[in-house]
Amino acid sequence: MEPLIQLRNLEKVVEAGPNKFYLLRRINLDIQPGEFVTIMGPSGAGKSTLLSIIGMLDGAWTGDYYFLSEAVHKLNVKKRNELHKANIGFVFQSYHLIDNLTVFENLEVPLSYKNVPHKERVSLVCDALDRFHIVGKKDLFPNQLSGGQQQLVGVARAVILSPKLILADEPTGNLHSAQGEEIMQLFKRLNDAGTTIIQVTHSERNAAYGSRIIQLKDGWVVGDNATAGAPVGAAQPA
Amino acid sequence: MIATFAKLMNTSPGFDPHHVLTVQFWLTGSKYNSTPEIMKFYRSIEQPIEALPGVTAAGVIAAGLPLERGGNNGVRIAGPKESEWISMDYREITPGYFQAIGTTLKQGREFSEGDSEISHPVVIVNEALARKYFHGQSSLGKHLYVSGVLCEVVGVVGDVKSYLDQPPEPTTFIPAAQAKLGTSKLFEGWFPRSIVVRTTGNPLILNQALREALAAADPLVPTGAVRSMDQVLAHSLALRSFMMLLLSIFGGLALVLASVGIYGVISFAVSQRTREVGVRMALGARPAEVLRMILTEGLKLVAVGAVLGTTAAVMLTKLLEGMVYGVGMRDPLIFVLVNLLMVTVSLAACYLPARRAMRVDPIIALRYE
Repeated sequence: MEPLIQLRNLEKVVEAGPNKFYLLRRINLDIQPGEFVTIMGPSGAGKSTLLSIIGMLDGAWTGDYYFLSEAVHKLNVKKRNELHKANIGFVFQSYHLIDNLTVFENLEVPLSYKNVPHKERVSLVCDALDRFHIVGKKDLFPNQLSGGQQQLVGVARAVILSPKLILADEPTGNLHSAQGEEIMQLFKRLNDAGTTIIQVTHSERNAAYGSRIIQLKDGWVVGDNATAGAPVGAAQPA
Repeated sequence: MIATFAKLMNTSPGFDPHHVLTVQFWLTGSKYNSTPEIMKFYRSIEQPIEALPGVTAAGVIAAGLPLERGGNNGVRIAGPKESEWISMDYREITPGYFQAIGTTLKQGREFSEGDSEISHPVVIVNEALARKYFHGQSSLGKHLYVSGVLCEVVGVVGDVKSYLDQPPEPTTFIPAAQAKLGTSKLFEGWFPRSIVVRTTGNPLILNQALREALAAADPLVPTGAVRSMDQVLAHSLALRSFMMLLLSIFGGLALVLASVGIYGVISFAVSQRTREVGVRMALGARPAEVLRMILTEGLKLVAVGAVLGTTAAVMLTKLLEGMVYGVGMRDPLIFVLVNLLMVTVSLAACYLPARRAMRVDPIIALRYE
């Protein structure tokens, strides 16, 4: 099967004065459609950076990145943006709902950037409200919702355009365990329905929902159970 | 105010001010104690001046130059239904004055050397007087009491303004040879006499020749400033021009303050929305869409400001009524132009923060709390 994502020798460097800091080193990964991947590692390992690059929010890196065989490293910003809009949904740890918009309007935001006609937009939002059982909350503002409800809206917003890939950056980090459980169940159901999910988490429990765990340390991939737990990459830190 | 000034600059004063030189003088010496003596002096300066190369006409006016304050006198319209005393502008002139100043004769004749102290008293009126008091009938042959003397109207001249921003006043012109000495002396206390000279070239080069002609006639006659009528015209607009400059400076400052204010408000609003911009970009917003969003919201503020400002301006127009000329107090063109200017400046003020928002790095913005 054609991989959804292929990363080859991907590196991310930041410069601070005369010094160079590698946030990611020689990342080589293949992610197949329908996988539920968990990226784990200590703070500063480069997990969120990798997620941002896969999500095409970050364009400052080197190496090769293929998304559905499209060479992302060769695309200009506009085309990269189009590819991202068409295929990727984001779920954030801090939910990142827009405070001055209602739940309904928050769900509409990604649709408005894809020029979905108004009627269709309303129908898609109503479907999402129904599917995530938040119809009763549609006129409330984010600050009138609990953390779990906000994250539910965040997930609904991420999937409203039926993306092929959902990227979740510590999606349960701000939730208590019951709410976290609910969100993870939701991810599981979405994955069972065919959506590829990549999550960043510190929680073994959340990682257990996935089918594959990638371990990062100091920017290097130090473990990937898709390759039977063996270290990945030609070069490894000493 | 700027529109008023522009209008005034294009307002005709009722005569041709170009190529005309004037010099003020005062016949205050004891030598001039009768109208014939004054006339003799006038002739003694007019004749050598008319003989100067480049001079086409010369005349004397007493009781005030055009575009400057001048005298007025009680006048009664004679006839079967004699009017009350009416205050009208009053000037004493020599026969060459109208030609020298460039006023058009509309009806009848100008004064001549024949209009002397012993001849039948005559008067020339301006069109404003003819319109107001003779109601479109021919003014010629009508009679007016000027300084208590019954005078026949022998001519009508075009209107000449004393103030550019005011309509011309009804004016009577008396031949200097027929002016009463008392009236003449009375006005001289307030308004100097002036010789008016029309030339073919730059009038100011005759400055010295004019002073010499006056000194030759009587070195004891005090003279005042030698000015071209263009300078007199500019001087009559000096206050307006100064006010316009002040208002332009204050208006410009207000515009700068408003722009800085709008820039500050929009900048603050954008900084408050950095995270939102990042979220929108993560959800698929293109930089151009972010720019449009910020500009649209800035313009909404500007639109509210424009509506409030226009309403306030319409309500406060009464206060400015006395300061404008030739401009409708609610001239829609001015309101449209001022609003357009404000919107353009505001757009520029919104654009910088909007551009900054457009360049927000979504990664950094999403970490921004």
